[in-house]
Amino acid sequence: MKKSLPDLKSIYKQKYGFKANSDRHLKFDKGISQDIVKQISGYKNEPKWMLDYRLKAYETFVQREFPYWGVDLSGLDLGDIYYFIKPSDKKRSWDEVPKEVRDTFDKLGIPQAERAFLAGVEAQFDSEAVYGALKNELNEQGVIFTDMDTALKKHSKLVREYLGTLVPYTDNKFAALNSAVWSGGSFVYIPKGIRVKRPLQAYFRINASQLGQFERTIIIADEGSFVHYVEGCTAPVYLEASLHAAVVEVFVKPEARVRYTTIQNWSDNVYNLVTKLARVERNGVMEWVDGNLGSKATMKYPACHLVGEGARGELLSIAYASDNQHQDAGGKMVHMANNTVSNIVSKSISVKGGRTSYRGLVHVDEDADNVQTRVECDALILDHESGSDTFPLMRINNSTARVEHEASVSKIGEEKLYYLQSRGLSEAQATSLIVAGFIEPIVKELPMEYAVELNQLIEVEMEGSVG
Amino acid sequence: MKTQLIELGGGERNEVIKCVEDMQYVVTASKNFSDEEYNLNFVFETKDVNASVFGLFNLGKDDVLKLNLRVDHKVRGTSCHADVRAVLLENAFSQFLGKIVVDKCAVKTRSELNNKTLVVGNNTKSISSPVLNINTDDVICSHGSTTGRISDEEIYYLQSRGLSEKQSIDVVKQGFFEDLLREVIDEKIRNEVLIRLEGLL
Repeated sequence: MKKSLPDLKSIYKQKYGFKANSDRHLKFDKGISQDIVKQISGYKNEPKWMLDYRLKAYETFVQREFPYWGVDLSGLDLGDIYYFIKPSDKKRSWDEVPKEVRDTFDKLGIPQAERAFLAGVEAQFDSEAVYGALKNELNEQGVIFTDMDTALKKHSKLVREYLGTLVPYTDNKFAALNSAVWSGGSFVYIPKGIRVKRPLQAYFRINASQLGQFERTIIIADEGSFVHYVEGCTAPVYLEASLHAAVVEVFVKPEARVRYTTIQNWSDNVYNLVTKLARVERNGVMEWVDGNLGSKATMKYPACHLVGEGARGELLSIAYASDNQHQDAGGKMVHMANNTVSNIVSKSISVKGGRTSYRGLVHVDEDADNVQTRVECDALILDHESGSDTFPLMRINNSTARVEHEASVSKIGEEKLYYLQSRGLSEAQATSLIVAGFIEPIVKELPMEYAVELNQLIEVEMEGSVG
Repeated sequence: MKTQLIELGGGERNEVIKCVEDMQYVVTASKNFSDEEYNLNFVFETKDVNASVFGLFNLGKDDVLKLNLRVDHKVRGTSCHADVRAVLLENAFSQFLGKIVVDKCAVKTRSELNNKTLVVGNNTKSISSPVLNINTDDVICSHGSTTGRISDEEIYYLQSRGLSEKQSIDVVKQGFFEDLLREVIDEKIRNEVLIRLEGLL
């Protein structure tokens, strides 16, 4: 019998428990303290301003409470986590990777080089053959695309100018944690007028560890520029640590456009608590494409501050929850200028005891005239054990705003299943087809290889979930 | 089907209404309406009951409406159609917090919650939060919320037909409530609501 992803997730837990028998030549003690923060900064040889920033963030982290809303965080033991690990070149042997994971890579057609990286066998993704040509092209255009640690050394002034200005460490407890112990992540700067034709993929950065718990990413798209940044993948991704608390800050200058695509499929031991915010200036466009497939629990609400006249914010979000996962995701659109537009489309699916929650905010400032905003969130619940919530909030302080919001929750109609089965499809195939149609408005916005993989992944999931 | 009028005013601010038979509930402001927070909780504990909840409010200059409306589906086969509409004149403020909760055993539930706000005046503010909390699969639940200003094109069209600006605005307001009012079965209650909406025909 074919094993489905829900089955292999439980195999992960029972047989392997996500413990890797690897040698680590540098690992600080578990738990977080001022000393750990100093050690991290000292190991990286950072400028003093960065250490000071980390220490202030740490103080805030200690003082802030856990959020009283959202997913259940009672199982998260912040004292039982390594806050910095520098991995050796080889994490574990290929033999240690569960057979079902390897089979899933086969089913999804994941290239061999990527499999080793995703499964934790290799620490670096050796993609020189693909990335080399792209790197030259970017250099000629004056594009900066590097990891944050390198950016801090080579472009310190630029990093200092932007770091924490959109997501300060006071934003929430996990932004404070990230600000104190961040490591890895991307730094991207696109000069004026430059349009980067091919998507920049996060795991094409060759140096440093690619899978960080506390990644810090900054993207600056200067006037009139365009970039599409992509991170994550649909295949299950091994992460030893149980907490992923990243922060992303995106600066969209006038007339610029940024698309930020994330597909996360973290292993089911991970609490995925991410803060993402974009500042969009005059006639700028920010597009979040957000796929949440994995993790034990996710809290993520990509946001746009539309501060310039004519700015536009879009969020396309997919959430898939099974096996007692809880995906608490959504978005925030804050209209602070005239003639700004926002659009949120959220699709979620819950099955086998999973729960999806859409949490959204639309805020229109008093001085923001002629705002248009639309939110659409639809949820499918595929069995009796699963559930779904929507928590939208619209705060409209200007009398000229046009606001639309709709949401629906249902199961797959029996007549639709019956119709497809009468055409010769099995129940699983019929369910898979309907689910694929349900998420199509978002999948079609993904880069082609992601769209193909996501559809295949849904097919694999449906095989195990029906009948 | 019977109709019950619920007037929000100086009296009870928290009311639990057990829906035991098919019913229409029409909610509007009484003469003693004030800016306090009103909580209405419609609870379905009897199988196969259908109910409609219509909220109609015309908020005058500086008026404040704070309405929390909760619908609990605790047994199978119940349905609820809730539609709350408000017109906001100068400086008016409306806050609508709605919630539909469907328990695990409440299969075959059909529940819908709509909130529409028509802005006529300047300096208005509104907060709308329609929440869904669904704990079973065999349901059809939805909610919608819209807020928009009275259309300049509509007013211009009516004025071009000889109406004054005030008459044109009144016609648009009347149209905004018309389809809901038409569904109110009890004529006496319908007329009382019209009076509460301050003279709209």
